Amino acid sequence: MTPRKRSKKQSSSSESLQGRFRANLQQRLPQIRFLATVVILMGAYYTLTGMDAFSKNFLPAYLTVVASVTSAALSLLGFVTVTSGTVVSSTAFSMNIAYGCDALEPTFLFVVVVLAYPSMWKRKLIGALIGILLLYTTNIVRLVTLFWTGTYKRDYFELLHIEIWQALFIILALALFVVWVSLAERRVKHEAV
Amino acid sequence: MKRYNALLMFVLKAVSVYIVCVILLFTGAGDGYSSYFRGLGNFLFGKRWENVAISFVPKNAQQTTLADGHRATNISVRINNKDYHYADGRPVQGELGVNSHLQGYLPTALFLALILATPLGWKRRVKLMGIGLMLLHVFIAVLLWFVIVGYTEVSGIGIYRFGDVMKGFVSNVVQVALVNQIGISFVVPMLIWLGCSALSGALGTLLPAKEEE
Repeated sequence: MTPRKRSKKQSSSSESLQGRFRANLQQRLPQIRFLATVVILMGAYYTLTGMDAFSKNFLPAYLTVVASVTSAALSLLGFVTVTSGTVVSSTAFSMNIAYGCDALEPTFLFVVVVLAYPSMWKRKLIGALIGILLLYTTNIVRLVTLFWTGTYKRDYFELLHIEIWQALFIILALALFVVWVSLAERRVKHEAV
Repeated sequence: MKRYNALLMFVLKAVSVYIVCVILLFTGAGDGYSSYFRGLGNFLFGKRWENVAISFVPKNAQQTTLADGHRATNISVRINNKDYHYADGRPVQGELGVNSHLQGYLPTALFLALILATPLGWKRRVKLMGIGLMLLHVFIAVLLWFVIVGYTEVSGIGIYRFGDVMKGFVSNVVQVALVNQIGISFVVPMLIWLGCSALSGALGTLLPAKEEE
């Protein structure tokens, strides 16, 4: 092969590589846009949570509400509890609902992935609202089970608190997202028909 | 309900693998991982800065209290900045605690559980697992960098001399990463899994099969 022919072949192969790369990128553009939106919004969330307005005003008020709802749920199950700010206590056990026990992070992650997913805004808003309600309710269930564990099986409290419930919550948020995507896409298909 | 079989199987598999990893954590794997984590820390940061010697060593069991529970730190990071000395000439030393379970083992376990539960061929799965574990290690390294630099800034044995803006930024990251350690330890592996599976098209395998026309 003469040098000229070789260089022609090399340049055409580099062009085809570039073309393939471009086509691949074009094909994955929706996924890249989705992921970039998720990362940017999660970054915004962490920036927000680092602000004083969040940690000194919103968070304590929110955690106090969570503590009151948890206490109400516990009394439905027969526990006699009182709340003082973010602390729920009975004669046998006392639990402080702190930053990190609020389920805000996985809930926000769920809302972010729903909002970032390419779908109609109405569906996104309905999905996000239903998801927030379900995750909030699950968090109350989580806190009730933690209080129960703290009262009757204290040795297992930290295991349930950190190793088990945190991961379960994240997996639940992911499962909810997949269910929402399948429902949203199904409706699109039905409407198209 | 049949439509969601793939998703249901995914959730069941992910939870099972994760629980196995948690059981392993308490039956010896935790110590093994802790040793690996110390090795990684020493490799990445031991001689990272001139004049600053950093060593990751096992924490004295007496220093951790039962009340700390699983949040108790199990590794001491000893920092010796040779640029600073006490009046008697001894070099200034600092020590901070990190938790290899929360900062490394559990995020890795969650990521492995998610990737092993994703319905994929083994070749693609191994490839995504490799990419994901690499990203997870980058996350762990960045987190440790912030923790070390943040601590040295606060304790006055600063590796860097940051301005107010950078100091505030580092302090915010340390606040988010350590005070709410639990959240970020589980959200980041999920985001890494989401990224890997969305880009490779694996996310679609969890969606219900399309109904026949």
